[in-house]
Amino acid sequence: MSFIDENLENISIPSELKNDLENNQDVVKSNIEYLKELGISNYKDIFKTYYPMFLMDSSNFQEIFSKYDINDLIDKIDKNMAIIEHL
Amino acid sequence: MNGTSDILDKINNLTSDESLILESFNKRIDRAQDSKNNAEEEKKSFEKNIKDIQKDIDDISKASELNERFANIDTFMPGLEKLGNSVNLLENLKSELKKIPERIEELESNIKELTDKVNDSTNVIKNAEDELSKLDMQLSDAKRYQENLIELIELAKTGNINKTRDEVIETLAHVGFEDSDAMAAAKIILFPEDDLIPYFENKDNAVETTVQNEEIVEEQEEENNEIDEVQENEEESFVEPVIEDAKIDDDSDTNDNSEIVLEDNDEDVKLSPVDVAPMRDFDKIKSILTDNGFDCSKFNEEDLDVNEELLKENVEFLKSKDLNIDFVYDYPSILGDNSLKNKYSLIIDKLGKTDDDIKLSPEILVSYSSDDIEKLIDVLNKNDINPKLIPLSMYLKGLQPLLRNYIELKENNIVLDDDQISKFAPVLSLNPVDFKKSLQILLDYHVNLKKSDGKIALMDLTLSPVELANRMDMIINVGEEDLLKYYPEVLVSNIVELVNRLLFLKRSEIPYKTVSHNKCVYQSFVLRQEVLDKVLEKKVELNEILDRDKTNSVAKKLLNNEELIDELDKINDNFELASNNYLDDYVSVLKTIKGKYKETENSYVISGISFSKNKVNRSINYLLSIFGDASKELVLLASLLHDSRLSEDNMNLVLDILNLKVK
Repeated sequence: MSFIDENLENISIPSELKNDLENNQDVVKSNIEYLKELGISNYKDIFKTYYPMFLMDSSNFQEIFSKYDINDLIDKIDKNMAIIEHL
Repeated sequence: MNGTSDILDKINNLTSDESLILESFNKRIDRAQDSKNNAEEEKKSFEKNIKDIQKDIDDISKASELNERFANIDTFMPGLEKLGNSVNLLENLKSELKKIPERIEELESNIKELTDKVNDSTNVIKNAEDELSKLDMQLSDAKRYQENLIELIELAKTGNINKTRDEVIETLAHVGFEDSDAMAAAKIILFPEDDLIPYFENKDNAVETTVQNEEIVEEQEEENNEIDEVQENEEESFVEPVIEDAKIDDDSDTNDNSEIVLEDNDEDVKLSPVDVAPMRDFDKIKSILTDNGFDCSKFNEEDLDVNEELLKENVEFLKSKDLNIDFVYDYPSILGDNSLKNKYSLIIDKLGKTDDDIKLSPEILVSYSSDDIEKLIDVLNKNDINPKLIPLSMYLKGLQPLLRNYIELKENNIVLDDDQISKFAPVLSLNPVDFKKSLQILLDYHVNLKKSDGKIALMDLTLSPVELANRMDMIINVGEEDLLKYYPEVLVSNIVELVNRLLFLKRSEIPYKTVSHNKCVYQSFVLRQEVLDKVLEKKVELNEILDRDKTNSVAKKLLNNEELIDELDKINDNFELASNNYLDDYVSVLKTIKGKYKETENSYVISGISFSKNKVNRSINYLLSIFGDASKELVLLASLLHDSRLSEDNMNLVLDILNLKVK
C-alpha cells in the first residue's frame, strides 16, 4: 500500500488528486513531517480533511503555521481543525 | 532561504557594491529617470507641434482679412467677369477663403488634443520626479543601513561583537531579512566563529586565488599565443580543408548557432553546426561527472554530449544547491541547460520559491524554459493570480486547468481570495470538464459555495456530480436546505453522521438553529459530533436514518410496482441522461398534484415532508425517458418515494394527501 493510500484510507478523493499526491510525495511527506515536528497530534486528520493543502510548497506551508504561538496553535487546532482554513 | 551558506551569501552580497538592494534601487531610479526623460521628450515634441499649428492659425487668420476685402470685389470692380481665366482664380480663392473658419476650428481642435497630451506628459514627469525623490531618500536610507551592516559584519569578523540580539535583528530587518531569516542571521553574526569568520576567510582567500589565477591565465595566454603562432605557420602549409582540422570553439554547443570555420588557404568555408557536431572529450566529461559523485553508467552517450565548461558549471551549481543527484539521471538534459542558473533565479525571485522548495520538486528545472516561466507569470498576472501562490507541484502539472477553472468560478461570481488560491490550488487544477460538471450541479441546487465566514467551500468540487447530488438530496430530504445555503462545506463531511444528528435533534426536540436577519445559524453540535457528545455529556451512537433498501421495498409495496423503483436504483449510472434534456412531460406530471405541495428553492414540501426538487425532477425525467408510456401518477410517486428513507406512515401520509389514482 502506498504512503498516500495508507494515509487517506476510506477517504473519497478524486483519482486525479490522488495522482498529484503520489507524484509529489516528497512535498507531501515534508509537510506532514513539519506538522508532526510542531507537535500537532491530529496531523493525520488534518491530512485527511485538507489533503490538497499538503501539495503546497513547504515554504508557504510552513509560513501558515510559523506565524503563531505554537502551544496556542496546537490547542486551537486540536479543538477545531477547521481553523486551518483561516490561518 | 534557510541554510547558513545562503544567509552568509546574502550578507556578503548586501555588504558589497553589488548589493541586490542597492541594485534594485538603482534599477528603479533608472526606470523612473527613463520615464521622466521620455515624457520630457514627448512634451517638447507636443509643444513644438502646438507652436507650429499656432503659427499656421496666425497665418490663416491674416488671410481671412483678404476674405473681407474680396467679399464685395464685384461691386468695386464691375466687368470683372470679363477677365477670363483670372475670374476662376478669384472665385477659387474666394471659395478657399470661405473655408478659413472651418480650418481654424480644425487646427484649434488639434491644439486642444496636443495640449491634453502635454498635460499628460507633465503628469508623468511630475510622478517620475516624485518617484525619483522618494527613491533618492530610500536609497540614502539603504546606503546608511548598508553601512550599519558593514560595520556590524566587520565587528563580527573580529570575533568581539558587543551588540545585543535585538540590535542585530533591527539592523538586519532594515536590509531585507525577514523574521525567521533575521533570527538565523543574527545567530550567525553573534556567534561568528562557527560560520561567519570561516566564510569570509574563505572568500578573501578565493579573491587572492582568483587574482593569482588571473595572472597565471595571462601568462598561459601569452604562451598559447606563441604556440598558436607556430601552429598557424604550420597550418598554412595545408592545402585541402579537412573536418578534423576544424577549429572548434570549445565554448560552442550543439544548441547554439555559431558557425564552425574551416581554415583554407584561399577562403573560409563555412559549415553550419547541423553538418558537424562539436567533438566531445567524453572521457573528460565522464571524469567531471564521476568526480562529482555521478554514476556514469546511468547515462547514455547522448546524455553526455554536453559542452564541458557548461557541464562543469551546471554540476557545480546543482551541487551547491544540494539537489538530489538521482533526479539528474532521470533528466540528464539539465547537464547541458545553458539557462539553468537563470531559471533557478526566476523560480526563486518571481515564483517566490525557496531552495528547499526546489529541492523537493527539482523537476521544475527541466519542465519549463526561462521564457516559458516568464510567459506563465505574465498569464497569471493578467488573470489577477499572484504566481507566488501557485505551488510548484501545480506548475509541474500544467496551469491550463487551473486557469480555466478559476475563470469558470469567476464567471459564476465565485471569487477566491489569495489565501484560498494558495491552499487549494490543486482543487482548482482538477480536470476542467469534471470541475465544471460538479460546479454545475451545485449551481443547479442554488449552492453558491460561499461559507458563512466568506470563504469558498472549494473542497466540495472534489466530489463528483453524482456524489454531490446524493449528498445534497439527503440534506434536503430532512428539510435542511438552509444548511447547504449557509454551510456548503458540510458536503465534504460525513453526511450520514450529519443527517443522523439532524434527525436525532429533531426527534429529541433540541433547538439546533436560529434564523435572524434572514440568515440561518446552526449550532456547532449539528456540524460536529464531538460537540454534540460534549453537550449530551455522553458519546451517542446515532442510527436515525432508515435503511434505504427497506424503505424502497415499502415504496414498492405501497405503489404495487417494483419495476420503477428498481429502475431508479440505476439512476446514478445514468446520471447525465437523467439530468440533461428534461422532458416537458415532467411538468405535466407535476401538474397532477398542483395545489397539494409547497415549493421552496430546492424542495417540494408535502405536509411538512421535504423532497429534493432536483432529485424528483431527475427521477421523473429518467423514468419517462425509459418508460415513455408509464402512468404519470405512478412515475411521480415512485420519484418521490424512491430513496426517500421515509417511514411507512409518512409514505402513507404523502399518498393520502396526493390522493392519486395509480393506473
